[in-house]
Amino acid sequence: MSITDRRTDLGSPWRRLAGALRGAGDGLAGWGLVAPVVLFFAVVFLVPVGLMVRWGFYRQLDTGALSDGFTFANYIRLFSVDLYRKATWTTLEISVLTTVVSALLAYPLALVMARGPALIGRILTVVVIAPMLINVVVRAYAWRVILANGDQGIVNWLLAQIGLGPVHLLYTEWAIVIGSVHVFLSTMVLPIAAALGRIDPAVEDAARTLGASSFAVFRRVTFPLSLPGLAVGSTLVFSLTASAFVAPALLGGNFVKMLGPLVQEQILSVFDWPFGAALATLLVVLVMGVNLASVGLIERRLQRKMKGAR
Amino acid sequence: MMARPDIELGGVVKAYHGHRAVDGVSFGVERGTILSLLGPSGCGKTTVMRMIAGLVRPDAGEIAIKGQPVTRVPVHRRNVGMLFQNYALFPHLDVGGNVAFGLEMRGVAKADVARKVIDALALVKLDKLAGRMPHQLSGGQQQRVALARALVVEPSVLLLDEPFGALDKQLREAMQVETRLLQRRLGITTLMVTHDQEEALTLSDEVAVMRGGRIEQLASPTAIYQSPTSAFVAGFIGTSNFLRGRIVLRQGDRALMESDDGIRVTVASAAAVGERLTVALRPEAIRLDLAGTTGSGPNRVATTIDQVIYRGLTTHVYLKRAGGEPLTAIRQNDDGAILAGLVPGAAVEAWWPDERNHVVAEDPA
Repeated sequence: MSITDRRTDLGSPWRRLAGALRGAGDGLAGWGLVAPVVLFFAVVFLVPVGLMVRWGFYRQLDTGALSDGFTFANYIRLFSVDLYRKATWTTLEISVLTTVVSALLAYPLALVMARGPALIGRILTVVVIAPMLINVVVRAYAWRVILANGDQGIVNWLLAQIGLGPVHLLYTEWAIVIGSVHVFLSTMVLPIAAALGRIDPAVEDAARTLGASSFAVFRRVTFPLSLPGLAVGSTLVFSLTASAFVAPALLGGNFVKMLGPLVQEQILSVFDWPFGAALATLLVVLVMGVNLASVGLIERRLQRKMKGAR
Repeated sequence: MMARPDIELGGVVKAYHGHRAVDGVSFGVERGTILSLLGPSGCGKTTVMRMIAGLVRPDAGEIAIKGQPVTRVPVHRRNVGMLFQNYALFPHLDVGGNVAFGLEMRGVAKADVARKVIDALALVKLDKLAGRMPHQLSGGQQQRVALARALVVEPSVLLLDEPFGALDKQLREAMQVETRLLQRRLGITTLMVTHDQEEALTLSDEVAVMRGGRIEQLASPTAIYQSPTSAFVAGFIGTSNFLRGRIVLRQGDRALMESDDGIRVTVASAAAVGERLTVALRPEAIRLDLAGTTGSGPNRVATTIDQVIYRGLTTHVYLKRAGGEPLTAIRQNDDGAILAGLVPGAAVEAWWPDERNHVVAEDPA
């Protein structure tokens, strides 16, 4: 039944994995099915990440050689230098903003996609996915043209035509937010639309017959039931925005520093791999931490709902 | 003077893509009674109910609830209680939250909400389960929660949309009886949509048989079963044998009809000699005598047994007339003596009391 599906959707990935393994035949067959993926991730993900974390505890000597052993020097520098603290904060801020703006834009779109005529839904899907088909560098340069400051940018030219502006957009946090929303909106819209599509229309009808206005139906029924989709979408948009480096570098320039471009600089320009690794580790921990916290929040919400039953 | 019906429809029409799903429906549901809309799927019965609830806007016609015109009132201000086919409980709210929803929407004070929720759940004997989530309940329990949720707001009328369709047979019958008792106790005017004729007959004060967006016949369960006015109703409610033929003789207000394959039946009809008629004949009206004990006269025919199907309470006997036309008889299984001789191929005499011959209107071709 759909109600139970929705519940397991929210279940922790581990519990779901365990369930899948049980379902796939006792033990061995299940492991056989996931083995290729596990192996692939071990080689291309776990090993490199492990190496990266280890590199963060080396130190680059002035000679360019690496120190032996284990040092926290990189992390002490990371947390004591203002620039890096600020970059961490900026990264969080921009990622959260992008997530919130995406969610706000995504709901109306997702509602039309899930409830509107099928043809409109398909057209909208293509439209929201389209930005992903363009190379990230091309896309970022295009936004530079649109958002350019002074009288050069398209936005500012348009504003000038109607007697407004100019506004300072390029090299601000908002430039990065706009560029990120543009490309990551689809990863927010599609899970939400899927979640909305799974809601039984009769449940909303029931709410209306019980006296709920359209807004109350959305607030009390539609929105809560779409939370699994919002959770997936938010996780994706937040992670992708936080770890991006091309768009932040081209749209934020030297004025808005995010962790992504800083990692790139340390590795490719400064050649301080240990410090770059430490920055990258911080980024991974940050993104993982926020994601786990948000999943945990939704899990707790659910647990609270289940409590009365036991 | 009789009070106005609690639910009134006048000339209600709804078309989808040029097809009239509801084609001019008018009826009223008297205060405190249950009226069932019965018909095959696609007959428009669900659309009629959704228009009363306000979930569908009629193209034409008027709807009134408790004497107030509501045709242009949005659904959330109509104060109807509706029970949905799959209960449509809020999966993210526990039982108490589901029942409280309508009260919260009406801005009822918190303390009153808690009390009314408990009262409503007690009404359906579920007050112990207020903390459960819907998916932890059985189908019958979900149905009761849905009923409590619909009733707690003290709706003007109760709408039941195929309410028992998803329950298994035993539970369905139990819930039907329980719902009927509850409805009587509360005296709430109720409209039910169903495709299950037995359900409609069991629960309703009146049954409206719908077909092709129109009401074919509206009458009490007894009247609709005993005196169907059309061949469709006669065939849809229960089963009927149909004899089609011509009036050959008139005598006072009675006439003798001879069917196209030569069966003579007496009917109460004002039709003139030569006129064509259709007579519906319930299978349970037909008595069977083993051949040889033959009487003579109308309302009997010599047949051969085609098939005998034992159904527990009854036995269905499928007969063939001389010309090959079928005739079905249903006998209750207590007259074992006669049933013993009923084997396929046996010749039997079928006869029936003439008051069971029922003239019905033929479908417009």
